[in-house]
Amino acid sequence: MKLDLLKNTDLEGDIDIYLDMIIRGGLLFCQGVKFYLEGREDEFNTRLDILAKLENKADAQLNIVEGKLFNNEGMREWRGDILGLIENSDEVLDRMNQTLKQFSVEMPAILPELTGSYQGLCQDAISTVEAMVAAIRAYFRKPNLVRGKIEEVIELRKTTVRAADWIKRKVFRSDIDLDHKFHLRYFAHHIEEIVWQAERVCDRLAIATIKRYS
Amino acid sequence: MFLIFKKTKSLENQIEEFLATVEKGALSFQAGIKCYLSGGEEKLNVCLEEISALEGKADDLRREIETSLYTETLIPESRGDVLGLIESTDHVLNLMEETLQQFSVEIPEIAEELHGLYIELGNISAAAVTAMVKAIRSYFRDLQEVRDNINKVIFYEKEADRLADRIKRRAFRMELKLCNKIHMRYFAYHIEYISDMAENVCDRLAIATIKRYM
Repeated sequence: MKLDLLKNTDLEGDIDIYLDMIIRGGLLFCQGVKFYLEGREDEFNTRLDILAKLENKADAQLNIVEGKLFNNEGMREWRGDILGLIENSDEVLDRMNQTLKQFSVEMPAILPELTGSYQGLCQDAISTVEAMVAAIRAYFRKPNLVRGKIEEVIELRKTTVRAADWIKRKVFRSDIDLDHKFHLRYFAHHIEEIVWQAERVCDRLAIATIKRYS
Repeated sequence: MFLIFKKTKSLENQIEEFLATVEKGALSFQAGIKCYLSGGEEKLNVCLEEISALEGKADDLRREIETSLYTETLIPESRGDVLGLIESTDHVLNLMEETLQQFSVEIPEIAEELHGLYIELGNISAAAVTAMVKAIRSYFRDLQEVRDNINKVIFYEKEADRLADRIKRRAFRMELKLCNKIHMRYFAYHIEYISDMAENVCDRLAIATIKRYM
């Protein structure tokens, strides 16, 4: 088995650039939510704007990767798997962008006692996304490490889901109106959805890795 | 004996164990809803713990099955179909667990006159899942039976649809705050959705079955 799938291909670098964008997107998302929770509107809007632009750039980069994949005969066997991985990872970036946009559109009134928990939830979600990116990079260069990295994603996903669950329990046991509870649940749910998507990517990755070994 | 995997006893066992886990999950789900509505939040939590453990076990089994599917000798053309069936079935179990979890987190106030209908809806969705498991088993053991079992799932899905509609109509005609009505609708929708997903699994199954006849 060829260990480094990308070595000496014209894709070397392109996929890394794309994955870098997901990492950067995660950081922008986290920073954006932090500024929202701290009421720093200008700074929040700047991060929102940069993240939206980054998502467009990532789409363009995705097209470059897709084009090169289809023109590279050496990658023929793995083309479908790689494409599936990259496109599903794009969904992770898309969800982060959408969630931050929802903060801007709906301006949820987060309870002061929960701002730290929402920030923590975002941190957990981003750690999961970072672990997902590390697992994808391993698929290309060190496939024997993929399994361990996927385990890490699963553990981080569980941590994030527990954090979201904790927030929702607090919310539904507080004295605020039911419609306000729905709104707060909605945001916890959307942040949580980011990690579910990251795990879905890893489910694909696990199968793609098994195929490389079989 | 699973006719599709003549040489792979361990894979047969894994799939059977996986399906049995989903079946048990349906029973815990059904019991959980009944417990919640009869005022037993503690009993609900017991059912929730049960179904969470089953869900974790099913996830592990799914991953083992995926590995076995690609590493053990099998009919290669059925591999993708089996994989798709296992993944979508796992999703149904996840939904049952998430729905019970939502009851535990959000403690919705269900109007007393609707308790019976919610319990019935839970029973019917669980019946759809049980029939779905039977249909999948017959795909492996006796293809002739697949059709009849799929028809049962379709029947339960339609029943769940009608019942959920009845619940929502009654809820929205009650003298309650709109947010309470929305909350009741949300839970009726999530219980009903389980039977929808069981039907989706059967749509896949129908195609996979036709492919085996060709």
